[in-house]
Amino acid sequence: MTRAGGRRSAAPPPTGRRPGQLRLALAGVGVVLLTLAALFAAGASGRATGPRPVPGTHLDLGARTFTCTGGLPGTTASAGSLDGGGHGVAVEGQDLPHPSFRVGQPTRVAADRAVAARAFAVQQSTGPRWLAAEPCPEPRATWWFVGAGASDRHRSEITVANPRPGVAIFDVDVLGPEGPVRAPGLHGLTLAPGAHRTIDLARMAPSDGDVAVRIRTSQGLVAAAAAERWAPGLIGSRTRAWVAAQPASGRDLALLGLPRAHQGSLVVANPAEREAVVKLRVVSTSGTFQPTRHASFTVPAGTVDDVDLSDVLDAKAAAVRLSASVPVTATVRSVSGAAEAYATAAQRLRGTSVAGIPAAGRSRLVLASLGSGPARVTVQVTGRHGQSLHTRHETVDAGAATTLALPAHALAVSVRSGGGDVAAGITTTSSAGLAAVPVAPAVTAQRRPGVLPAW
Amino acid sequence: MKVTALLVTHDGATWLPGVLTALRRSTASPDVLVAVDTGSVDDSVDLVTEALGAQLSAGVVRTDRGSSFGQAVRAGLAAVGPAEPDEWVWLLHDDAAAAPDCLERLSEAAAAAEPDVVALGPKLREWPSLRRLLEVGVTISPTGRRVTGLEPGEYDQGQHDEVTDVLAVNTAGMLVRREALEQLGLDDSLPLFGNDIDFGWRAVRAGHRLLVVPDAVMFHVEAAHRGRRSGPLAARPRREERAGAVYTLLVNARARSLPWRLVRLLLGGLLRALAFLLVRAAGEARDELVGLARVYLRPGRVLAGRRDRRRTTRAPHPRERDLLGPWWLPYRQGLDFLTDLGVALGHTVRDLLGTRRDPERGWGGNLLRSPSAWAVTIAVVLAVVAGRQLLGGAALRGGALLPAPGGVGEWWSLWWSSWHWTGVGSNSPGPAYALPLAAVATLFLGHPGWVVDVLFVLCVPLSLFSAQRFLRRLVPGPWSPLWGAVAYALLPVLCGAVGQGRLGTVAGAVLLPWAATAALGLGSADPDRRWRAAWRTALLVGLLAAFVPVAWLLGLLLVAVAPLLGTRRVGLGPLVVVAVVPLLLLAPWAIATVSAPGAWLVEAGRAASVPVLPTALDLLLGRGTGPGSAPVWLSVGLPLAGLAALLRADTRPRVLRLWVVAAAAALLLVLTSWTLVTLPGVPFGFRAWPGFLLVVLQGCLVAAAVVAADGLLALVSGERFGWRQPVAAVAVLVALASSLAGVGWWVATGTPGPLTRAPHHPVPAYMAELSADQDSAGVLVLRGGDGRGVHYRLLRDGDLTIGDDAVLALTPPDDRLTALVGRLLSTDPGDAATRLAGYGIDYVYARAPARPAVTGALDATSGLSGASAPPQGTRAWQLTAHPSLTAVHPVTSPWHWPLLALQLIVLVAAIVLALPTRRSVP
Repeated sequence: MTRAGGRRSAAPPPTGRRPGQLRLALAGVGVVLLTLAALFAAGASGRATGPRPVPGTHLDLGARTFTCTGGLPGTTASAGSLDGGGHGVAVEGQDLPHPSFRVGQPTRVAADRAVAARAFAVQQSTGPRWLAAEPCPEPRATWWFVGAGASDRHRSEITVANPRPGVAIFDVDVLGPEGPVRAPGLHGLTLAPGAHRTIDLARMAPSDGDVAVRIRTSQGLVAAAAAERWAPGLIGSRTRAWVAAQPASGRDLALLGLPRAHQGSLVVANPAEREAVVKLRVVSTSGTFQPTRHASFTVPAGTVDDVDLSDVLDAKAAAVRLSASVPVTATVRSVSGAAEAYATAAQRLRGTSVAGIPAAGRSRLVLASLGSGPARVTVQVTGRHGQSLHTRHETVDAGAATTLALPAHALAVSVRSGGGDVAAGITTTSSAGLAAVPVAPAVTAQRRPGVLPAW
Repeated sequence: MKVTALLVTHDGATWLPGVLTALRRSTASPDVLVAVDTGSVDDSVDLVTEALGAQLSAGVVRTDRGSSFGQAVRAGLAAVGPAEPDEWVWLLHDDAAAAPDCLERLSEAAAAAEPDVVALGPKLREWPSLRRLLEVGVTISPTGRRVTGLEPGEYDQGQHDEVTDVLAVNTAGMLVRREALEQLGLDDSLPLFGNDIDFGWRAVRAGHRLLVVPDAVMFHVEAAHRGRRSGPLAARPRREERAGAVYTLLVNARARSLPWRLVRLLLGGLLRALAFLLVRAAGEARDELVGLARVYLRPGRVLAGRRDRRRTTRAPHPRERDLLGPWWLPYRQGLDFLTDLGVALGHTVRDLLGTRRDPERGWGGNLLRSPSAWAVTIAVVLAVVAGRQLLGGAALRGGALLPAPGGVGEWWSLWWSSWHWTGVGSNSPGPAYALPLAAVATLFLGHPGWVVDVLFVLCVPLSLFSAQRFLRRLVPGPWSPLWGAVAYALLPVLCGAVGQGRLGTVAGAVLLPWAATAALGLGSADPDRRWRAAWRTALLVGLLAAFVPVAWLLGLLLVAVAPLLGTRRVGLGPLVVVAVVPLLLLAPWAIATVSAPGAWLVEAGRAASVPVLPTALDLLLGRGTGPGSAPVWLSVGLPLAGLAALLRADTRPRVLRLWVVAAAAALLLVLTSWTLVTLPGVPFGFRAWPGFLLVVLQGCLVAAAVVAADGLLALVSGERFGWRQPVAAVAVLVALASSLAGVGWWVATGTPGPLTRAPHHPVPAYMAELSADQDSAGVLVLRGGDGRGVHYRLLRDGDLTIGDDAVLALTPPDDRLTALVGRLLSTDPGDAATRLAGYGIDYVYARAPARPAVTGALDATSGLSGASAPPQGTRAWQLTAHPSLTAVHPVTSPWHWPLLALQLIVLVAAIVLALPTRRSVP
């Protein structure tokens, strides 16, 4: 009673105002609860903010341009597309009248958008002592030629062409057994659109032993090929070949294109600044094994080294796999008498890949499984008139290789990957010599990164 | 000498008894007396007849109600017969009474005057004050103002008692030679106003003289001039006077000066009308313009008048130039006008600031004894200490804040341009805040950077000052508003807005209390004050919404719940003004948001630049989260104080209103939190920064606590001890501790967050310089390429600056350019580089770290050549093709200029209507 009375004296609420105060108090509670509820609702939204990754896209392939560089005597080339024979393929702007044509100087072969995905062009040269073949190169930013020579006895001439509109600027770096070879005249070289240039390594960057040449553009793209004269003996130039163009250096390489030969040597270039520790495995028709010799070796930084594999590569050997501690690039030079051939670091095939087949000798398709599981492929061989000669489905055991004889008069072969990691190459042997042609992964679309306005 | 007195009456019954009495008491009687009535509808005729009936030679002559003064005079003279030699006419008005000796003095002067004197005028004094001088002769200024040479309200102390030559004398009491009067005549184009000056000017140009005789005195009501006379000719005296003055100037001016006068009068009239509008004298502005138009639209009348004057003019008259007003007179009048305007505005500002001054202490004494002044001073010192990292270096930037532009012109251009060379180019309107920023930066001597520096470094003292102003309107005591102002001022710092460079929230926190203060006036009992408060609130809400558009939505919501806020007597009109006018003030920008309504949730500053994801606890304690936010526990006192405020019964209604505003802010927080904002130029959806709404919400809690805390000590000490005392004590202590902790955190940590003055070079200096010189030398800046995509930005004038982001946000990306950049970076770029030059791009610049996916592609692209890129990890290319703007087609909106005009008109109108009402002084 006393406390109640005290309240009345401090703030006497008239009887008639009590309901008003109560209403106000209730309204206050209501507003507070509404505010708190709204805040909890707002805090529970959990809306994500900020930019999201933008995936890249692949667009239909545009036109492709091959450059058959020539550089060897009597060079001829074959070109076409599995989609339409010679239709849609032009040589120096002229329709292709016949799948084969002579190459006197660098010649552009253009495949239009419709047939580009399954187009091919391969150049070859046959002489009394040599058989050489290689795919006509498409322009790119970086080229490696491992095993080239820069001496009179082993002399390589590199033809660099700029088939695209716009000036191309490139540098040529040469690595030798003792390290980088000084070549001051090979930096900042400029090529006008449609122009080409031949670089004689023996003159521009003389060096003994095997060298590795890197061509790197700072503007534009170029097509390049290295033609060489090589005298295994003491006198004269007795054989010729194209040194295989290698893709960019890497830590894991699979070198395909090992024709049956008497000798084989592995040439490894280490452009890195650290010594490379390289482990070697051989893929044969019966599986992958590690040789007892040369299972592991080192290559000093910035140098080129040779490893003799003659006693490692037998008739069953189909590919050599290298695992390196730093990115390296390499090739296997196969020598049989006076003939030689270079293996190419193969890339895993995706979709349908197409390669031209040298017109001389007997050709074999080598398929190597590079993954942990079997690889399935479908091989289709096309004749010179565009007809399908045969189609085969093959399964390659994990880590093994298999070879398929290609019929004579075959013009091109397509390999469609049906699962598993598989790489392919073509080896050709004739009485004149040896040749190896890689089957490069199909180019089916152009890659375009995800692009959007910045915020 | 014969004197004919001629009295003209028109509804003058109010003053006629005095006039007639004065006439009867005159020490000198006119020889003839004639009265003319121009259609009076009151008792004028009867009064005159009754008083002078016998003396009138022709009774009361009557003319039409619309007769001019000249027609009335001619009718009167016609009634008394032909003129006689040496006959003088004494003109009398029905609102002017003569002193008893007026006629006598005038007659004496007339008798002594030389022959070239044709008119004499008495000294006019104000009737009924009787002592204040009205005229001692009159002339006209070059801009048509009637010039008496007297100070306003000047008392007659004999200081002007010399007979002097004048240009004109008032017709009230004028003694004029009948011959001259009939020869020159009174112009019927000047029916009531200005005919005296016109007559005098013509007389002077005809070679005559006019004298003012100060010994003769008339007392004049100036009924027509003061708007006290009825009848068609006196309905709008200001308009008639202006039209008469302009006409007088144009018909009497010398021919060679006529073109100049025409231009000057027109421009001067427009300027005066504008000035009248600025002081809320819309009627006077209208009269000024209409009076001017009536003369200018009838050039034939002016030409006829000039022809008529050539008949009597003997130019050049040597005395004319001396008798006219001096050339500098209009400028002095203009200066006086501006001074008056400045004083009035000063009073208004002082009224707005609510300065409570003790006149006996003086300005300094008041300042030293003011807790508010000390609080602001200390806050400035602490702000400088806390902003120690932001005091020197490059332009302030970082987080949501882009650097300020180099010159204020860029902000003005951002506001008015219909096309912006930002990015590819945009016809989106500039942000609404460009106008206020440009205006303030102009006052800052054209330094936009200073505006930004002041806003961010002095955010706390500025907010404190404005909050204190608002809170002191809520409660009378000094201490709870002081605490409240401190607690409020810390909000933008603690919530992270300052550290994250949130321009909108920072400006909003400074402006919010001003808008709230203006809104308090909506409850005024005086309708005029209520309306002015409505316009002021609308202006400030518009200004607030320019920086924080969601403020308009909040205003709209509050208008909708106005009855809950106890504003029943406001009326619908002011509420509509508060709701609609801000929208019109944002006109060009607001219309552009029709296609991007999400922009209303995004404040000034780069949207989505600092991602935040506050929880409910963060929101309750006023944290937007992200870098620069204070720990949440620092603010635990504010919600507690706000809740405790509801416990006090006597202030509960007012506290509840503040809680209603807080609830409205919380509801909008739900909207902003659950809305994924998408803007045309922002390539992803994002959640809007809630900073401003948090400031509103927390500010309401602060205000509620202030209201409840005022007088709390006296209240609880008067009660018996119970649960209220401990609760009040705990709430007060926690609230004080929170604020103190907040101050400590602010000063100790400085300004944490991405806000910085570190130099930033988005492109190499040489590219920025080249692109600054020409729009067609842009730089395509690329970043990314690591699998998350490549982002590009086209910079045409160095880095983006404040406001550019708002234009870009409302500009849909150019899909062609996006595709072209994609093509450029693809394995088959084709002629992409050449086509890129058509967008006015000279360089492509890959920011560090330049990724191989980008550099490889660009190295391989034909049409690009390597360029210098000094910063490590960057790469640059120059397009070999000459850049042009052939691919950009500026298309401006046809609505831009009309909307801009609408915005300006509404802005001027709102300012005028928000100012105190001007008392019209005739």
